[in-house]
Amino acid sequence: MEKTDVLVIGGGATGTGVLRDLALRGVDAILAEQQDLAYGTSSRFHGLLHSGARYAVNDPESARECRQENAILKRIARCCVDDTGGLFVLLPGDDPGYADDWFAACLRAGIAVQEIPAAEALSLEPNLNPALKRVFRVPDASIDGFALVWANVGSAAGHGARAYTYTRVDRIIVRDGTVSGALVTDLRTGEQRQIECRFIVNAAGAWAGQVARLAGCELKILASKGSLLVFNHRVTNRVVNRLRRPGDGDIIVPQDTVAILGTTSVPVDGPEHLGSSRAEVDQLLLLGRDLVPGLDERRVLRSFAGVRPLYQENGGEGQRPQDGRAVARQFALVDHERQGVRGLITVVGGKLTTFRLMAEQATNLVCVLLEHDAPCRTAVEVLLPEATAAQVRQLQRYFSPPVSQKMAERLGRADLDQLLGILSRNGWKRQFVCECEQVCLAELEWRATGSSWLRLGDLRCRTRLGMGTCQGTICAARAIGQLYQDGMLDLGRARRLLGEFLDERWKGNQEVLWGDQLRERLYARNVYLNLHNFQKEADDYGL
Amino acid sequence: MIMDYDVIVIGAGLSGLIAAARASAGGRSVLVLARGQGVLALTTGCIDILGCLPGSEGRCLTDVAGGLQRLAAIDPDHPYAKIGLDLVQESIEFWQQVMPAVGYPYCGSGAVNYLLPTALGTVRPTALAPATMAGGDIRNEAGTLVVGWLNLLDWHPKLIADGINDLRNRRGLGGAWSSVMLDALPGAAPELTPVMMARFLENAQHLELLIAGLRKSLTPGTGRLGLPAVLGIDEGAALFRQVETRLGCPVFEIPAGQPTVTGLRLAQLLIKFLKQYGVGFRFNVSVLSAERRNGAWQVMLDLPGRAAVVTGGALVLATGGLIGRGLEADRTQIRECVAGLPVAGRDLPGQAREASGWGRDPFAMAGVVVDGRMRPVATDGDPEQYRRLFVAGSTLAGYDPAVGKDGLGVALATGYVAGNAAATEG
Repeated sequence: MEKTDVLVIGGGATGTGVLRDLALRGVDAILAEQQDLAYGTSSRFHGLLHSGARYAVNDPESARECRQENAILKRIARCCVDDTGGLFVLLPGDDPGYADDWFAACLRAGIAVQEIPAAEALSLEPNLNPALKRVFRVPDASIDGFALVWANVGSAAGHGARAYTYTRVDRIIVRDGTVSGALVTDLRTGEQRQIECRFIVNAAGAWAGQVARLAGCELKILASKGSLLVFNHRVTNRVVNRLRRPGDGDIIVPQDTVAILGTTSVPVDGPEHLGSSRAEVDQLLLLGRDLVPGLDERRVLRSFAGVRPLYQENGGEGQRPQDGRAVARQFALVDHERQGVRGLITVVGGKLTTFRLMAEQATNLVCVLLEHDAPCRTAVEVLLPEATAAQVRQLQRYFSPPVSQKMAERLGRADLDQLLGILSRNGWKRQFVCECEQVCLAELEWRATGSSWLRLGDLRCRTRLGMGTCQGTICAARAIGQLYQDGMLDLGRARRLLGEFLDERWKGNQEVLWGDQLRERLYARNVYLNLHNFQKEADDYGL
Repeated sequence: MIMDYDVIVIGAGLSGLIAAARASAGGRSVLVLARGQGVLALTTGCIDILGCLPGSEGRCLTDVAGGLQRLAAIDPDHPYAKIGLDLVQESIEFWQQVMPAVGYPYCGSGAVNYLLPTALGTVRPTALAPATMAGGDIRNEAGTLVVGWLNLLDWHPKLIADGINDLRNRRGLGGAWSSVMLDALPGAAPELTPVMMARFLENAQHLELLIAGLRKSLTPGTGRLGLPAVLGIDEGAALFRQVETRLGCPVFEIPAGQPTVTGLRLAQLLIKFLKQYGVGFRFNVSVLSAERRNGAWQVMLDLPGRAAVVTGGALVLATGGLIGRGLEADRTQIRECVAGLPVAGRDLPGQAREASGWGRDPFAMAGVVVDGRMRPVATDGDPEQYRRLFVAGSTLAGYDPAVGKDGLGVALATGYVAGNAAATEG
């Protein structure tokens, strides 16, 4: 039987943050995630690393937390942060009085806010509404949730922690009122096994209520769905916020080659089977064009939705709020001892920007209970050691300087070593499997051999393969073909993975089928169904 | 530039080119206007007449003639059903006359399908295949070696060989396919798309290197060689014949990548042929509108810095569908871009939908509805407004080539009928 001190449930930013924190403090820990890492909210958001300005008026405590964590992540997580800076834009018709209150609140929260002339803002971001009234700069940035979560786990693994994906927790074992372990199932093999542990940290986000129930504890989590749209280019180069009381469709975040517009806020029953409705898409476009005129005419690659898990202290008494924004975004740390289960802690709520702080406080509590005295180091230890100049020079033997630079920043020192090793053995693996996101065959090989994965989508999340303009039309066949050629798949699995991947990409653009995106979808069908006569179900072709 | 023609064809995909060929053969002066290269380069270059019947869940059809009868009975909105099967047959005969003259012959009678391998290791039914591809039928018993090169993109020989063996085994034929990966061709770029490789091989010395490498990979059991479609573009099947003769071994091509060499080759050879026969071409030109005025069609062109008008007695719209931009969809409606013709499925973009992408797709089925002579029907207002206007190819409603495997077949038949009507109807 496998033994550990702490079992962390949930492979999002919080869970992997806890895993890393525990590992850095020398506590033995295992993480179990029922899907792939970052399957939930950690990847289903706009990718905004908050400066705190958005919360300055309504939730000053959150604002201060964001301000501090923003600065820390820019220091330790350069591999996943694009320090774009952000703007708050006051539009005609929005309350000018709010702008003054907001400015004062930002100053109170210690946020580095600075007003700039409208003309300067328009020269920085020419797509913005030219009728804008006032513009403020804030230290917002863009963060890659996938990369962050993987970097957390990579760092934790370097200090002895283990992370199991596609491992579902079926039951939390409680003996004499104390947690002693969990029964888990490896969803790939169907095998059930027991993990013995002294503590369990429930960091399952939107699934936290379900996990608590595995130990017989009640935990009321409100689920608020947010829908987002992905545009096929960087509509703006900075994060753009609409300066008004936080509402729908008022944030644009540039993410690598694309930009994301969000969000809506709709109460839902749970975290599963989420999609954006056409009405939400239309509403977002309508609101988005206030910030960027003509935004509704631009190409939308896909829509997606995530769930904000909102914790309610009172156990969910009373009405469920119509707007999840009314619930504070601060996080909660729940020791379930008060419900009669010792050794189970839930950390829930909050937002991605503050994941490290949530993890720190959860880990502090675990360490107190474990009587383990070690300081938190996650705020000072760099998440992913950066590439060396020598590595970048080596990369330039295969790629142009800008491509090399970008790759080096994204991958970091350890992964780059692996990549360069593959390239030195097989120079031809410099070929791009995904041209949109510049993912080469060597990177695909390293991700496919160096990590545990089940779906082609898992490799997409590790590499950004298929996230760009073509949405997998070119790269899906290339990736499957190469993985097969390298002996990593059998024929049945190759076909299954390809069908599944196309399904997932196509599901995402189901509600944005017009203009160029409709053309792209029909073109993709032409490539796979027509040219390749690829059939998901009847793959014997009636022969 | 002459400004007055008997027939103006808008679009240089297969339906436009065939309409131009037919009208020109009927003795008319013809001008083809095209915005880009046409979407022919996005096809296999095979004339798929009918590969799958609706509701057959992907079963490959081998009996095309029987399949057409069945299709006409169950799917009266399909363009073939409107034209009538006799004219479909006539269009096939026209193709079989034209292509030898083009110098790029196609194989097949049109009555049965080949089952040809794809670059993904699946099989694809098609009725008329270029000579460079027709030798690849997967039912052939010859020991088949699929060859690849490390520097070639979009080509995975092991996936193809294993995939075809799997299909052959299901049919009880036994696996007779194998694969080999050769080193990068010397002198070629480290990353080659199939089109780049085809251009590379148009150089005689490079072709020699290719032949030498292939010769080394031949074994006594090799009955034929499967290559990616990379054997040149401009010279038709000449490089293919050279490779086959020099190796003394049958060879066939499998289209790979986007655009495909076989699609590009067909487009370029047809255009060159039609130009020799006096068909006028004007590329890289956008058509702003087309209107019937004073008994003729006036087509407004968007030329750099100015607008121009060409006139024609008849107009063939072969502008493509939603992929080729003959149809455009905004968030609420699909419209036909040149003449503003009514579109069946007009309101689809604003409607809720459930299509998974795998079955018949309502967007692919949308388009202009015509009668058996390719004249738009259900037009409102003055019938004179659309006189001597004919529509062909993917602009038409009623078929989904991704599912039916009937794309270039419909393009051929409807292009032929439209060209014929444009040349003859007074």
